[in-house]
Amino acid sequence: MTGANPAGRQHFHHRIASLQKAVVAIGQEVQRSIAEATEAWLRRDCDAGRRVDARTAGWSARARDVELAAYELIATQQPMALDLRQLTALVRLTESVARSGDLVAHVARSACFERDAGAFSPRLRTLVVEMATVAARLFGDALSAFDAEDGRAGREVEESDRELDLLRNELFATLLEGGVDTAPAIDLALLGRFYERLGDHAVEIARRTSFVSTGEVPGLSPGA
Amino acid sequence: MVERTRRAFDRELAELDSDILCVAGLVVEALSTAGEALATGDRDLAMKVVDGHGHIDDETRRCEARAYQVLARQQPAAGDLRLVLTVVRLSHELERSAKLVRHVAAFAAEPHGCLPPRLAGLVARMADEARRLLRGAIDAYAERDVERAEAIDIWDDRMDELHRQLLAELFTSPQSLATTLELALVGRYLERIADHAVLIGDRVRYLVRAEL
Repeated sequence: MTGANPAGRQHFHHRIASLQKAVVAIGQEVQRSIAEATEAWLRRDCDAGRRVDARTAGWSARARDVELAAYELIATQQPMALDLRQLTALVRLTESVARSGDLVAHVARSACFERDAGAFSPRLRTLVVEMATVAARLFGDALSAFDAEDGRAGREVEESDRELDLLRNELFATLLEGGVDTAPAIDLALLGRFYERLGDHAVEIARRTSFVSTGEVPGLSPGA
Repeated sequence: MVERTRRAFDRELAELDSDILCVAGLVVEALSTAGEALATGDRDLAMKVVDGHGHIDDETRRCEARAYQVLARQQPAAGDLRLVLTVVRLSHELERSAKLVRHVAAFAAEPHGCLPPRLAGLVARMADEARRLLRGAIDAYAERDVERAEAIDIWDDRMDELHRQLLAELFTSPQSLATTLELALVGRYLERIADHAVLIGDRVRYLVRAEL
């Protein structure tokens, strides 16, 4: 049991901290790859896309290792209260980070699809870059908030996510103005969805930061 | 005393198991209704699914909260611990799936005019396939059937093929660009529901064999 042995307890907390660092590190690699994957996509640069995709290869496995290590600690240390919340939040983060990694990999691989790179107007390209930039910023901010156990910074991420929603609406409105063929329009609509989902994952990471201190499952309605 | 405590704990685990299966049933039913709304153009039916989403969302989070309470109070071990951790994970997969179902229903609730038959047919088949996969994954969990869970991954190939056909059809069909883009997204939502079914199947292997 965690309370029995002070040295053991310290070691346990070091283990939790090292797992938190591990999942944040994977998340930061995901975050750093968002811009590069986007650039490859916009330029239809298959080689660049493949380079980013190759980098994503280990993320899911590493996230799974963190998850299993957290399960092991739950099984062997029988944590309670804050320790348990830290571990369950950590597990939730491995899901978000792994899934976000998949999203980035998908964008990178899509750079190899046969489409005309000139199909997008400067305005559309700007919107895509802006969405990628905001998504990467939210993701990074959420990871930093989790790393620092800063619930307030986490709440700011949730508010900033609306920025992404507005950009996505603007993307759609611009596509519907015309001047884009059906196939590239579909590509852009689906691409917009990826950044929206990255933003959702950033919000989830931010909410789990609050969960560690409050113990309230994110999104549960008051009185539910 | 120990025996009474053990029985109470077993009951708590059984309730957790039953709760997640109940939530799963709600998600599958919502998906089935959304699929029917898509196929028949019944916008009122689609709105019922949209309106019902809040309740399903709450239920998934309640399951998660209860699982954490069991972890904290009972400190389960071995297979019991894997069950609780699996319920947590399933609550997340079902929460996401429910949101996607809501998006599909929201599309069906809007007026889109008459969709070209081939397009309408493809979307309806995708919805049906997603429902079949999700139902299959949940049944595999309920029965602790690893082989059945692993089959979900194979069935998912059919979903990928339908999705390809949908996109190919969207490129050439005469509907408005707005409807085209929304249908592309609906295809993506349904494909993602199928992915969640595969992920639920992966968790059955963890529950039964402690393998991830």
